[in-house]
Amino acid sequence: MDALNLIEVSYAYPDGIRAIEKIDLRVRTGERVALVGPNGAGKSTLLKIMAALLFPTDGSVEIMGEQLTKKNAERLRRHIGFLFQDPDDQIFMPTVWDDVAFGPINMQLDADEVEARVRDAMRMAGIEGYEQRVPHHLSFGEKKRVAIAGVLAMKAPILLLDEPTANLDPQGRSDLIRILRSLPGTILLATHDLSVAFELTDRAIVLKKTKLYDGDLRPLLEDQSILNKASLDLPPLCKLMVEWRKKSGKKFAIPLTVDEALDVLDPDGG
Amino acid sequence: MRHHEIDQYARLSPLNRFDPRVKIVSTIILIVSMAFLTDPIAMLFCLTFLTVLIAVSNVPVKHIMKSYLLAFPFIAFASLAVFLSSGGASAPGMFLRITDSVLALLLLVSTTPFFELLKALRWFRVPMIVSSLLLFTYRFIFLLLDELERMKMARTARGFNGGRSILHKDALRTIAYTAGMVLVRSNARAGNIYDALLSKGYTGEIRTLNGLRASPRDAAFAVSFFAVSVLAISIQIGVIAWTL
Repeated sequence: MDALNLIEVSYAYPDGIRAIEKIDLRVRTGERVALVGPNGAGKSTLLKIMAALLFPTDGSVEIMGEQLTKKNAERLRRHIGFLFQDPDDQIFMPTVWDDVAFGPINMQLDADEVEARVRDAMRMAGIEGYEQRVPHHLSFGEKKRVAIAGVLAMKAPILLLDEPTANLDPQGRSDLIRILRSLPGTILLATHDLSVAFELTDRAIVLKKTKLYDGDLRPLLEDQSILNKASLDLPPLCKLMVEWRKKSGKKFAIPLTVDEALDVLDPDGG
Repeated sequence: MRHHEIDQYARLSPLNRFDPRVKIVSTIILIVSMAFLTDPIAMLFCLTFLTVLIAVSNVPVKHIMKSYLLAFPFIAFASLAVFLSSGGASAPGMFLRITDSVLALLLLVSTTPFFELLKALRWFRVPMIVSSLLLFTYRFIFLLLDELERMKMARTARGFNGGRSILHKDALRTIAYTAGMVLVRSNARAGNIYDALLSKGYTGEIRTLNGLRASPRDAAFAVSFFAVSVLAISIQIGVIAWTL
């Protein structure tokens, strides 16, 4: 079964500005997909449509095989965990424990189950011991972890992550990537940072109001016209290897990670 | 920005153990009784009772006073209005009466987690729209303050110092733009927060982990408030003085 299936989805804001145009998109259960594109490409809007928070002006959306309507949106939202770009948009309750427990309590789970889910989610997000802290007094990175714990506690089969690493310092970014890598289920993340996509996903969808590309990440790196159209920049490692490939005349696929680059540069490992 | 959360000490308070429904009813009975008081001794008697409760509530006095100071301008204004219209004798009575009522309400909201308070209100069939409004008003005040703080910092960073006077046209224009932008930005953020709540299963109904359950201990709490109300009224109508 497809986790998400979008058919010719378009969305226009009330002032008439069209955010996305005729997007077809199918995400299989368990798949990890990066939604990449520049600012204003419609990534967040598309994620909100998939989270049943916005309704498309044209086209249809299926979540876990069921067509989204205004009537069933409340129920279908239970399949989705949504991580907002800014944790201040997501954190609502006066203490970390209350905020992580907010979703499970709304799902009307019993107290023991809520307790267990909150404990597990806080452990996975690395915020054990923060239970009684006031979220608004935490650092940005800590708030991001609280927001992730709140999403994890709902145990939704589909996770939608809007710019999950935005504004994080390098340590916070690598911690977050480690957490996200460990998560089970279907993950769809919006980012304009291709290196995040490399580290977490296998498939990329390039968006700039319409879908410019949908497929594996490696061919995307070789397609300069798509990258230019979507104002995407290769990560420094990839740029370096592209330049070296030109100068050396060697033929190899652009490496995505440092280990892959080392294999290209020193195939014998000496 | 560090906010003054009104219920931040609620979970630590021994008064949190009482059923919020009982606390709401008891507080309303006391406030209604106090509304009839004109005798300063009766009002001081209520004030003493509330002071004792605040002392045993484990809520720092500083926290209560901070909240009280927010209401103080309104109390002072009402007292001043009475002073100007009815003379000096009635003003202290008005001041004491409102102070007693504000303290009773502060005691209630400082010793009850906000969500449990809302849940109790829902139990009394307060419409969902009202409880949701209370919830969002409470949260969005902090949101407005946050946005205001950010805008203030942005203004200061670009050399705005308030102008020569608050009435100077440039200063007024900047303040007007700031107010407009704060509202626009807060509205956008409030929309995102509401979306986040929806994605976490919020339907408008207030849910908490603890069920509402009244016990004999809660009856004792209600009786103590009722007794104080009766005693205060008795002092007011002279029953106690007459008996003595």
